[in-house]
Amino acid sequence: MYRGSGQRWRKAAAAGAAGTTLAALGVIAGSASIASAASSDACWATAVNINSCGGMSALVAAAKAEGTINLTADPTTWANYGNIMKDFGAKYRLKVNDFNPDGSSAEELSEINLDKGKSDEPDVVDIGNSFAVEGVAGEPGSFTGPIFSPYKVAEWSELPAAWKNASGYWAFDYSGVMAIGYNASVVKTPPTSFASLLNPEFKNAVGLSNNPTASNAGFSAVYAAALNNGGSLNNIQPGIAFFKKLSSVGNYNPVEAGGAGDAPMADKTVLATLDWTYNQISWKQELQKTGIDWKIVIPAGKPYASYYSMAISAWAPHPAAARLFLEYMYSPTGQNLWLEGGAVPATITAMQKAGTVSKAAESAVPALPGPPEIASVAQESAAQKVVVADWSSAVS
Amino acid sequence: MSGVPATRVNNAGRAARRGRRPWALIGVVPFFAYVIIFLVVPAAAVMVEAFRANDGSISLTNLATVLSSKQPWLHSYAISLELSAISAVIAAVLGLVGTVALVSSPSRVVRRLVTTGCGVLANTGGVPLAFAFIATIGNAGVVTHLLADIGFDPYDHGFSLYSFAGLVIVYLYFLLPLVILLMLPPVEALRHEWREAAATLGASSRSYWQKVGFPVLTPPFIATLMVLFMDAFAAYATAQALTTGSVPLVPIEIGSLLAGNVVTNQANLGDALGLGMIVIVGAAGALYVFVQRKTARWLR
Repeated sequence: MYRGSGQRWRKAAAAGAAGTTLAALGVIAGSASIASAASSDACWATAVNINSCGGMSALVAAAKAEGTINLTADPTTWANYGNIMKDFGAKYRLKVNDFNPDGSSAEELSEINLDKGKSDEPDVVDIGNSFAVEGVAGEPGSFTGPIFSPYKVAEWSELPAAWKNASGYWAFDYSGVMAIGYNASVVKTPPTSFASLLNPEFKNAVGLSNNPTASNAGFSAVYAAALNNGGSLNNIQPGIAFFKKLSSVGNYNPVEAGGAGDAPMADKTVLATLDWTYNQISWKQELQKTGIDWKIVIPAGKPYASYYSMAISAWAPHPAAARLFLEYMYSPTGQNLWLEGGAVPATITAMQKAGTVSKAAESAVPALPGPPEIASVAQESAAQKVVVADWSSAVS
Repeated sequence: MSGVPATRVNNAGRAARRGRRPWALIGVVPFFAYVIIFLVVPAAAVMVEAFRANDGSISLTNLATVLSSKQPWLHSYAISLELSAISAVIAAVLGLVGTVALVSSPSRVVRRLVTTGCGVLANTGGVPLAFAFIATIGNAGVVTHLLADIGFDPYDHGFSLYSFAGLVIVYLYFLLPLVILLMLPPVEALRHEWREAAATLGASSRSYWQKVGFPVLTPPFIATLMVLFMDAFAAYATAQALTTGSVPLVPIEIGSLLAGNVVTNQANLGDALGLGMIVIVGAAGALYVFVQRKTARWLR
């Protein structure tokens, strides 16, 4: 008995020692990986390009360790974001959050400022360009800029200087072109220009996605109308005059045709809308299900495009995942996903030269009658002031 | 009505209540906490931010912009006030007629059905209401098509749902039921014993209404008008979905300045517009409270 217990003691002591050593090694290894994850996270939190902290494989590993990415204000029907979020999440096995999917650019900036330190602080924002500029300059009385974390993706050199912030705080990501979408099942003569929207066939039936003083798409429709009715990027008055005429002949329908869903198009209240190509494409897919053939045409004349900008929040809770998302979206894979949704990606020229435009994507955007016009931030804000002052008196 | 015994009961009740007061206060703490966090603090923030200029300093520039005759904001206030006033008055008059009719109905089932229905309809609004109206009397609506088949298309004769007049019609949808809910107690309180008493004293129907009916009903009617006015003035989602700002209304413009995708760095102007709305609604609310005090006398 006693001999057995002695042996049992030794066995127990050996087992205990082995177990403790293993546990200690496990703790050391675990803390080493936590430490390395934390230190690599800390590295990625201030990384300005992919080579700062070990390249793509290190970035992917760090992102997977973070496990989540917080996006915001990306409706699934906008510029193919539904597929983009699904594909990105599946490829890197990350959880993709999209808080506030119908939020505006102004709300995205507020979220960055107000949710600091909380789990729903956005990692990456996709905002109108004037908001990106404001995010760097700051809004006196509200917040001091910059509220973004600078990062230059691998394709940085492919972007023209005017399309990115020199320090890397933001860069253009995709653009839409202002297009007319119309109900081909009902409309007998397809509209091919702004002037054709004045036809009596469109009585009470021409709509905008939303109010031009509140929505970029609405504002851009007015800008596009200005370009094609004798105005210019510095003179938006002819655009307002066009909508005033549209309203006086009774063709303008002020409901939210797209801003609150496609119900007005589905029930034939609105037969034609002016909206970005990527929105028109998603309406086309939605309306097909109700049997409506929604066709898209770029109006004859000067096409108008406006780029959105992508930026990383300065307090991003998942900095590696944020940078991985940017690398993914600016790579041909991501850029093609945007193109498939009808959004012209920022690196399209380089992609066409390198032949990396996917076949599926090529046919998505209708052919443009010429190079698109893009307004500078200064031109945009001057035009916005005019629209805010004159819009309601023009269409009421 | 009640005599000495009631007074004694009231005194006893009051004494009992005085002893219980500290406990009662605990009950209202959650309510006041909710009101302070979600009503008082945001309103205070709006009022303070309205006086902040774009560079962060305290200034009156935003108020000056709002009140300037060269800017479109005064016109928006005028249209908002007009829309709220007109919808409130039409709803109040039609609703009063409806309430009197409801009270004179002998069937309790009808009264209960209508009251419950009004409780639901008074809280309907926003985008679903706008789309419901677009689907019925919009330019491609069901009723419009029916009328067009008969040969009278309202849209060919100048009617449009997406106009000031259209908004009044849509607002009536939720304002009218609200009137019925608010005016039922006062109209019911107009006891027919008073009518009979007046008749035995020799009053004609006309002097009954002139000396008893209308004086009793006027304070609650004004209070109801104030509630309708405030409800219509602050309505946002319905007008936004239906007109997106083609009828210039202050809540929609605040939305464009504060939460839009076009204007940057004008949030404080939006706060100034909000301050104007708070002042107007506050004035209507004060009148409501003042008038309610007078009404309470008759409803005991």
